[in-house]
Amino acid sequence: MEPEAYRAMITGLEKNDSVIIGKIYVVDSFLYYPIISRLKGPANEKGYFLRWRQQRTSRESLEQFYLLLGDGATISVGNNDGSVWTNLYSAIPAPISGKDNPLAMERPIANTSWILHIALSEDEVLKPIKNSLNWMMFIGAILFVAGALITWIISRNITVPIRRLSKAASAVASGDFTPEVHSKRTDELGALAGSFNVMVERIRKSYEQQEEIVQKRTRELEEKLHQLQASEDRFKALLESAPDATIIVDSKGLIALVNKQTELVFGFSRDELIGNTVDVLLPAALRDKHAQHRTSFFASPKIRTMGLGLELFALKKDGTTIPVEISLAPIETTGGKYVAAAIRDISERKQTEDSIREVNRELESFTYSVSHDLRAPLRIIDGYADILKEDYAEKFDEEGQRILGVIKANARRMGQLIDDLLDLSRTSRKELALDWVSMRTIVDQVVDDLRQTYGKSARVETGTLPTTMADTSLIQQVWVNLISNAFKYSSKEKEPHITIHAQDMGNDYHFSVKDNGVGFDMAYADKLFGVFQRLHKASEFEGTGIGLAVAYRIVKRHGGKIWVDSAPGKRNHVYIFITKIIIRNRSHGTQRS
Amino acid sequence: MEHKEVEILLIEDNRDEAELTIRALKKHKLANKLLHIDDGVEALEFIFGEGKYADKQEGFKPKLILLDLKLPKVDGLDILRRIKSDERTKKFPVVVLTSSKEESDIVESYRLGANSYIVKPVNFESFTNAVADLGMYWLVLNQNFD
Repeated sequence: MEPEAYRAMITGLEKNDSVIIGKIYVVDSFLYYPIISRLKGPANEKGYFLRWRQQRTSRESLEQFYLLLGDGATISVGNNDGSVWTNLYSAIPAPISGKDNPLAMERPIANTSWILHIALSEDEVLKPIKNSLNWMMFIGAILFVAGALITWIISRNITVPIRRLSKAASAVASGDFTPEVHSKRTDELGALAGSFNVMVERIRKSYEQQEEIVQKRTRELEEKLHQLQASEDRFKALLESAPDATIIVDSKGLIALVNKQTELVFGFSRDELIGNTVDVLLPAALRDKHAQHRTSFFASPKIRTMGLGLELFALKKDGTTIPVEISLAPIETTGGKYVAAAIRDISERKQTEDSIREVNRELESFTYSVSHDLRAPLRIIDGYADILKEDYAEKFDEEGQRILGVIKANARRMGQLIDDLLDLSRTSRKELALDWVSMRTIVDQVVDDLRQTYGKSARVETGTLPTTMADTSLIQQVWVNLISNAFKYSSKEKEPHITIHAQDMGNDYHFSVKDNGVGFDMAYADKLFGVFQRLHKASEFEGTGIGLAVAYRIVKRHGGKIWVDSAPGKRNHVYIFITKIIIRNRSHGTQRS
Repeated sequence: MEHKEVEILLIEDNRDEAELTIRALKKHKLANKLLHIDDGVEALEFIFGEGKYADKQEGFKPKLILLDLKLPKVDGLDILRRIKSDERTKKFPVVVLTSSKEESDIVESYRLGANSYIVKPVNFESFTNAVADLGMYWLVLNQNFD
């Protein structure tokens, strides 16, 4: 035994009468442990008494102890080296403790080498927990079943009407508008069903309307188709009976349609032309140019005459060319752009024109002769009459002098007639030389010149006059003729009054010359512009009656019109003429016409 | 009259016309040295010293040639062309005096170098005045070349 152990024994004895000082030992299935006790005399200690004590605890007391502990707890005591364990009744195997048994606890017993082990019964400890767990599982199961039941009821309540709606919707989608969803519910589903029914009704109505519209449209279309057919028939009949060869050509120059006259004029059969290029009808030299012109026509299609001012020729099947006149009209269809060309064989007209030209040439040389040959003898008559008058005056009596005067007057009058006729002929033949002309300048000059002849008595009122495109010398002639007439016919008035005006009519200017002269009867107005037509006697107003005819021709050549407005009672005299404003870059057509 | 003394050469086929022209000039004392030739061919011979005038051309310096356009054989425009295209004669003042009012005649005359173009009026009085005016201008007022 170690000295420390002895000291412990002694120390323990100082407090208690006896102290357990050793381990428990098993002998013949009985448990023993050593114990030391003090032997005290009356005055001092007499010594120490060491003995083995048997561990003896009755089963009853042990059970009572366990009951005190409760919850199925067990208590056991063992040596701290784990060699012997006892339940205080008999030896037992070493109890489980530590990590392996969380419900057990071990503590050393003070002043001994024993260990006390207390273990709680797992069953006893976990019993209430298990009980509550079981309760919870039970309640959970009930809740689950109840939930499932409620879900089923609710879902049945909602899905059935929705399924009904869906079915009805499918029916509507497939065109059946009869299904109606019955629902007495007042909730959202009821409202949905109600809305659905309204919607179906609306769809049904609109469908019926649509149907009606479609039927109506179909009827209209049929009617239009019918009209179209009729119009096409009419068009074809019209095309066939057209007096001109008519060819419809597409933008590539392919012939789409021809009429009977085309076959007659060109000698080709219809089948030979349709689908073929229009070049077959053109002299070879013109084909390239024609393609260019066709492109530009389709670029800005409008009704017009082809090759304005040019001579056009077409090629017949037999290889001969004929002079033609062609009018073009654009046709726009959904199938594309076409041009309709009306072609007229003008061979006969050309011949007539040629002979007219020939006659004109003769006339020209005639007028030339007139100009020279007729004027000369007149001048000689006048001249020699003058010589008579000057050199032989004393040999003529008064009557002789008067007769000489008559000879001279008539010679001059004939000279004037010839001059006027030549003027007229020249205005018809002269090429128009268009330029910007200030009408104001011309009128002012003409008025000044005429005042030399007619004097200053007439009041001339001139409005604003524009600058227009015209042939200066010819348009001046018009002003001279009209204004001199105004001077002449108002010359016998007390206060001769002439007004000259221009009015802008948009595309044209209307020029007017008005005087307060005697006027004339409008019944003869149409005679006024004829050659040698006079509405007054020569003794009233002198003149050859050619002036207005010249004005008429000049204005006409400028693309204008001239007319007269007068009433004898009203004592006025109005000549109106218009000339178109000719713009230079558009002047081709006008110039050539 | 000596060749070189001729101041006015009148080329006119119509004798009556010529007489009236001469009379008009005489009235204003302008016809003293006037020669009238009534044939185009002869006029050319005279001007260029050819034919029967072959040795007389020297010294011909007219102050005025009055030329009618309508002549038999060689017409006035041909004569004008000859005069104006020849170095010796192109400075001769030529006044075309004619009844023709044809614009083409007027234009052509000026193109060929005519110095003036007078359309003879039917009215004799006007005619006299016109002839007198042009005679006065060319014979009296105009400063002749050398």
